[in-house]
Amino acid sequence: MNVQSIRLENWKKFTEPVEIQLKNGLNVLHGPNESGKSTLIDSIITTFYSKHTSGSGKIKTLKPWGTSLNPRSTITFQKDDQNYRITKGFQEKKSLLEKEENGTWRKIAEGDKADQELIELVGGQLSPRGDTKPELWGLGQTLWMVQGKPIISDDLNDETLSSLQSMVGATIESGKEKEVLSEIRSRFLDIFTEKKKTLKKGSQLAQVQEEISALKEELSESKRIQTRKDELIRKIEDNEFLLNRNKKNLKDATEERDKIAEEVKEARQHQKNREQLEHEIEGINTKYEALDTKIKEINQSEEEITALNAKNEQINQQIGPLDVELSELNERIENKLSDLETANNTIDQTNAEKSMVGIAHTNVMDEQTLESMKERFNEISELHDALESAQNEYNKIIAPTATQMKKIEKLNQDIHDTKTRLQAMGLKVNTKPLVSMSGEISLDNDVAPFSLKGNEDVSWTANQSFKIRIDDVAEFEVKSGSEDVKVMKEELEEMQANYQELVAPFGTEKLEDLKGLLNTKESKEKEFKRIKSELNKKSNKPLDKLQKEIIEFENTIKLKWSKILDDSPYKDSEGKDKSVLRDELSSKIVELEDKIKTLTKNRKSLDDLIKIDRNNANELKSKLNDFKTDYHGKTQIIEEIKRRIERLEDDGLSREEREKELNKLSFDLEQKKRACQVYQDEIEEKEKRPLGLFDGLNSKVQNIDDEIKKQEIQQAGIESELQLLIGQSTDTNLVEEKLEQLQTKEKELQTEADALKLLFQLTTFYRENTIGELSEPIRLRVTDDLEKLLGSKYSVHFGKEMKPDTIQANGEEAPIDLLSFGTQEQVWCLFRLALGSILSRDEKQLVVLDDPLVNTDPVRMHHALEILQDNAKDMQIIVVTCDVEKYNSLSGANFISMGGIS
Amino acid sequence: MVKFLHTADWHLGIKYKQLGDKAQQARNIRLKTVEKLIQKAREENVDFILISGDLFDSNQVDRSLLTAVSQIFSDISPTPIYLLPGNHDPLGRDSLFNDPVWEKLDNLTIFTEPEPYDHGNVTIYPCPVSQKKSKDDPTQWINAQDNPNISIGLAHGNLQVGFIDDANFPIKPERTTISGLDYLALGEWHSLFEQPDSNGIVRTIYPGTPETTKFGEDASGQAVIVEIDVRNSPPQITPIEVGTLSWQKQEKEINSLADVQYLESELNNIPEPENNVILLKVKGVTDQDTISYLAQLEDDYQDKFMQLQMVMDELYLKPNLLELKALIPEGAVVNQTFEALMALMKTQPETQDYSDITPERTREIFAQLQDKDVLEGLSPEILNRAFLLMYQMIKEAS
Repeated sequence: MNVQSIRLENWKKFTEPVEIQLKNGLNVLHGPNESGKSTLIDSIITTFYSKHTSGSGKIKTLKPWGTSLNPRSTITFQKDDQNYRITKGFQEKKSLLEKEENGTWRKIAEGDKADQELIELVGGQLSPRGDTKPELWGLGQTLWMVQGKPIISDDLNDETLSSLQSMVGATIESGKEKEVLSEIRSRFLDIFTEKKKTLKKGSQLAQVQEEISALKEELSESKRIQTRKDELIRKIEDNEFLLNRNKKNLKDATEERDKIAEEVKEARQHQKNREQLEHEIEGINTKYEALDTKIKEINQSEEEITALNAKNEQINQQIGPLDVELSELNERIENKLSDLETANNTIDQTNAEKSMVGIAHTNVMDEQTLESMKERFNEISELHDALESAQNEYNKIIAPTATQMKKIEKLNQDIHDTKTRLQAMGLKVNTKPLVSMSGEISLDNDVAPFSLKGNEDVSWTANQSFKIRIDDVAEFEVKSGSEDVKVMKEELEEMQANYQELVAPFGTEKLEDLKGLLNTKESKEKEFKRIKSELNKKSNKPLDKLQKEIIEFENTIKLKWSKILDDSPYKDSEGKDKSVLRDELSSKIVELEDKIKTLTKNRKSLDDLIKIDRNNANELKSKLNDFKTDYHGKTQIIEEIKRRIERLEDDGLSREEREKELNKLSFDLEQKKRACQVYQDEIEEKEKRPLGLFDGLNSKVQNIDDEIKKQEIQQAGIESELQLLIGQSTDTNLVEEKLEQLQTKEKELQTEADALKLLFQLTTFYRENTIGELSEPIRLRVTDDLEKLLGSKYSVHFGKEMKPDTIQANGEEAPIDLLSFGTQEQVWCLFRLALGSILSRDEKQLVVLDDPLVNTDPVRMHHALEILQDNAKDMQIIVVTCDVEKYNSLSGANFISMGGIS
Repeated sequence: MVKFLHTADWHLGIKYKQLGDKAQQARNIRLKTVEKLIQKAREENVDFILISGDLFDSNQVDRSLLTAVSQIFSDISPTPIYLLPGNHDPLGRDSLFNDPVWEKLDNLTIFTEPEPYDHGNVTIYPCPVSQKKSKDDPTQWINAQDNPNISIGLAHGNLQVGFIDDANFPIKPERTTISGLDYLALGEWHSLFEQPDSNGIVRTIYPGTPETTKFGEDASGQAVIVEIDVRNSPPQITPIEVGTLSWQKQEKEINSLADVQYLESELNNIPEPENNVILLKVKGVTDQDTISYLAQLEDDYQDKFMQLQMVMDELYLKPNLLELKALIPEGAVVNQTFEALMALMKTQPETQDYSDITPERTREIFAQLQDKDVLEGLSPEILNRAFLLMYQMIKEAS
């Protein structure tokens, strides 16, 4: 299929209709970026492979931006030597397919039918929904390179593969075979998953297997119940056996027990008698012991009293002397205490004196300080006065400031200069009259009489006008015509007026005076400053503050003096020499301190002695206390014991009576004990043996009875469980039969699955082999062209998808995607050309290369163009580029410039 | 004079694993058969019915059967039914005979003790079974020598006659003579069997199961009506046929399509196919076409018969490559696959001989396939099936 012309209206950037004509062979569509080249070529794809009713994203973007115009395309193409024309209007949902017959276009189909028939002509498929994709473009998937995507990453679609197959050699896969292979594949995929070739969950085999395992579950559950039932039955039988045995044992044991009933009766009587005797004995014994104890206690108590009394005597004897010692010690302590007090008083007095002296001392020092403060104050005060007068003098002087002075000087100078200039410019009259003359001269209107002697040199200057009136002679007037002079004169006058103004406040015009004033003022200022700094050195406090300080200090001193007691010898020290007094006071302080030290030391030793004495006194005291307490305690105890004796003797009996009673009891006891002994000797034989035997047998009977009861309960439980299970159980016939059936089916299905797997593996293997053979011619061609392009020793190898996989160069093999992008681009380009070439043997194909060799260097470019030209002999090629220069050397190519169209 | 029906081994609730989804139907047929039998007994006006054991296939059968059976029994009331538990439905704690449903019947006697029982002028000596196995002769205790009544033994076990060496519940063949019985009604064997005593008179009988239970029970599907005139007189025995299903095993040699077609016509000629259970074993060596046809046959005739099962594991495929190549042109993927299958047949001892691919070609093919794992887990069945599948698919595509 070849495309002959493309016409677009309202299509993306083409708001005006645009049309290009393509030829067989090589077409080069060129223009700058964004000129719409790719749009033109893409329109082939859109027109062929999008439904005219499509509303997909791509279609929506066709209408020119910002408009609501309807995009429309018209493409004429040739197929099997027939010319066709397809017109599609996307927004307006129009589709028209026409065929050229006898020079005119005849409609073949419209609308959906047109879309459909178009596809049948050009190959490929319409996209069911959404945008179209390369795999739907039939042969175009591989032959048409879309901008920016040189690499074909998808698998080649079936159409391409089968077109190839039908080209290369004999028909490898007939329709029949295809059917069979696809049947094998689909049946295989019914059972196995595609990727892992494991059993598919939904497959029959898997389902049967699931069912089988479910049934097996059920079966084993039933078996479990059956097993349980059997267990229970066995248990019941075992239990019955045991139960019966127990019943027999019970009977025997009961008989045996009952046999010895009589013996047991006698034994019981024996026991009764013995116990009674024992009881009596116990009673008598208790009485005996109580009495015995009483007597003993009474005796003991009396002994205790005697002992205690003796002890108390001893204690009393010890207390006396200690008392005396204690009081002596206390006296001594008293004496020491009063000494201590005396010492304390002395110390206090001395301290008081010291403090007085101290105060006086401090006061004296303070007074000295006060004097120097007052001196300083006076100095400062004087300075303040000096400062004030300096200030006053300074203020009196009226002098110009330095700045002003400068101004004045300058002005003065200017005036001088101007005058000079004027004079220079001015009218200068020199004369040496021969005779004397007089008259009036007016220089610039300044009239003044003059009188000259003869031969007297004289000159007059005037700036503007000179008028002389010589008495009795004449009047001369000379006027200067110079304007400058006039101006200058005016200036001068102004300056002079300014000058006057400036110096007016100072009382003099003279520069020296003025300067003198300035200097005086300046020196006054300096003096002021000097005084001020001196003042600051002395104090930065204002005067009044200083004064205040002095007054305060004076008051403080007064206050301190008042602290000294009136009768103290140190009260008045005002008249005396302060420094002498100070020293005296100071040495007095030292003297007093020494005294205090000594006194304190003495006091301390006294204190220690007192402490020791006190300790001793305390010890004695506590000793005495102990003795007294002890004595008192013992007295209490004696009282208690006496009371106890009283209680014990309240039975009314005398001591002798008691003794008698005791003896009687003793005698009774003896008798009864002897009797009892006889019984006790017989215990073993007459009591224990028969009773023991009976107990044993009785408990045996009891045990057996209990066991029987337990077994009967257990039995009942098991029986009811059994009945329950029996009631619940159902037969497993259906399950087992179904299982058998399913297992047979499983075997069948498994065999079938394995057979399908085998077939699938074999057919896939052979098919792949075949494909490999198919791709050989293309591979050879690509290798050929690659050699032409890159030089010899390059060869391409194809993978089982029939696309270039690896390149071998200089004996080394590398996967295609490791090559440089430029080289990859070239390989894919050559692949397309090779494929197109081979397919074109049957029918001329269209290959589209969108900017294919953009990364090719000039040397390779040359070879590339040769290859292009060569290939264009067999088919139609459209090359889209923005760099037409590259392609200029092509001869016979159809160059289409975007500039010429848009 | 006494006339009674003697039957046994009803095996109600039996499993029919081979019958698959027809099993329940077969069980229903079985129940119908025994119903028919009991009706027949009523028509014959018997004095009573003896059932010597294995009424139920086990104590675990569906309890609804009890209701059905009790209905059958009550329908024939007041004719007495004397029932002996057998080794499949022994007495015991889980015995079906403990079920209260039996108490509602007034004409049923279930023997639970080996003690003589009088019915008019007949004494029955029952030997009920309470276990599944025993080495003791259950009839040992019978002593009817001094009994003036017609004496009939009722037991379940194995007659110790020459070709049987099953020692479970062994019964002496001379029991009738030793114990002085007029008739010994046995149960356990599923085919009708008559054992003459030392005088040549048949007094000991297995009636067999009234409905065949599996292949090989050649004289099953029957019961007997017995008449005894007086004490010691020889019993008159009349077998009656009641069985519905016919179980047949057949073996056929298949070596060509003609053989299959012949087989087909034979199958078509079988009367009442819906009551036939057929196990057909085919043997031989033949091509894919025939085998395919045979497989189709099995599918087609499935529903015609109660069950048609074909065993084809001794039928070997000898592929006809010429025919195959005719269907698919040379050098095709499918063709290569067929050749590969023939080569793989050489790896299985059972199929080696039937593959006539040359050794050189075999080697070539194996060299090609060597690192594919197609060679794992193969079996003759898989290869055969693969062949057949391909063949069928090709035929369909043509």
